[in-house]
Amino acid sequence: MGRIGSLTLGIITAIGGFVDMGELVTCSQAGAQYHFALLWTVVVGVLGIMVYAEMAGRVAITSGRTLIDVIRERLGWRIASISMVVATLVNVLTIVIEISGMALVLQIVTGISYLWWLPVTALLIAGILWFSSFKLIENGASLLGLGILIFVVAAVKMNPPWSEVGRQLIIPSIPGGTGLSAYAFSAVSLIGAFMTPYEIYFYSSGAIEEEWTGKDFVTNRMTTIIGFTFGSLIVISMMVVAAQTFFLHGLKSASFGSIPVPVVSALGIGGLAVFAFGAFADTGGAALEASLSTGYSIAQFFGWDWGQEHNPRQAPAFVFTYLVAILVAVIIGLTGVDPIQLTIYTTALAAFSLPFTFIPLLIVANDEVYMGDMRNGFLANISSGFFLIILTIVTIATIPLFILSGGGGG
Amino acid sequence: MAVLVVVAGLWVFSGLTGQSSVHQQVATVQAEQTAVARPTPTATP
Repeated sequence: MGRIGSLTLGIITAIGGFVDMGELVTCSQAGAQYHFALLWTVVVGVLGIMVYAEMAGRVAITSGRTLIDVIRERLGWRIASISMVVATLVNVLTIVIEISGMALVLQIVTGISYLWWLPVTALLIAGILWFSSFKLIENGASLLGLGILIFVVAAVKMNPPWSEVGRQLIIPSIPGGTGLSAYAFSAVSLIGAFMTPYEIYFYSSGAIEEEWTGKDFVTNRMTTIIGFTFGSLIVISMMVVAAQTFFLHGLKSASFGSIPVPVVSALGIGGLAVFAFGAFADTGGAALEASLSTGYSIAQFFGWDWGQEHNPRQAPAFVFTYLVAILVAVIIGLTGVDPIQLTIYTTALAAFSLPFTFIPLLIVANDEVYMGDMRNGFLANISSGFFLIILTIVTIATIPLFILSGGGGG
Repeated sequence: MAVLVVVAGLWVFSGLTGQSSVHQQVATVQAEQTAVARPTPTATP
């Protein structure tokens, strides 16, 4: 495949892979509860992940090494171990919610409880990881996940007040009669959904798996900027259709079955079929990426052989790690914990954990020894510094907001 | 194999069109939309 073809594929997969269980749940609930008033979080979250994913890709290309590997060498094992442990905790919870998402789609399609489907989806994820190459995993799920663009189609069909949508994307507002702590906790969960740590570890390790070189700086930049920008259109649409369907009629988005309701209302049963297909692929893709990210961060921290391009026998500790992570995830899921509530908590925890990954990344990206001429410029430092301040505030505020809002329920 | 695919396809089709929580919620939404579109007639003396 030529460079243009590879770039196009990278952008398309970034769009298709943008949505996961976190976005499905938090965007639907935010639209239903706060109409357009949380749309501004899309701008913050997407610009933030764009800046840091580009940086992680640049560090991987320049140093030829992954993020956790460079952090361990540059900042020592103590700092690296904090990043690794926090990321692993969030990754495992992410696997729980993603395999639950797959199982909930199957519940909609078959009528059989998602708890029966959980072991099946976990086995499916483990099987795909065991037998498939990195490229197939990265591109396959994301291409199939493009079905989730059905939300954009539904939004266009509903024809919401677009000028109001545009205004609320830029200017934060708080609807009257709303508890401030519940609103702020929802904002934190949304930002965590858009900026999940596994995305950074997967992106960084993927650059090494695909053997990116100096010629791929453009691919790195274009994939993050164009792919994530178009990806953001999906989550904006998800929030808008939920707002138009639920909020305007005083209804709630209370379960996973609520998420496709706006699509079915606008587009009929065909919309539900496309949603089910796209959502299954998207949550499956995220489960694959979060599982690999768990293996990546732990194997890279301990200096084990790692990589999806290896035969499982060539990197046994790496494979064992992600298989254990999937097993732990399915056990947590089978306890019957509410997957919707767990998704909200996991995305909030993801937001809380981001500085533990982003601060070391920022330090490394500014290090001339590792980065040479490709170290952060003025613009990269200003933008990443800005988002870091926001994320630090989010980190400090998450736990008090969780308590004040009664776990996000207001 | 073909029989399995057809059976699975029918199962999925019946699931998508059957009485799931999605369809119940869609019915509620459509009832609300209809109520909004058709204003309550005011009583005339």
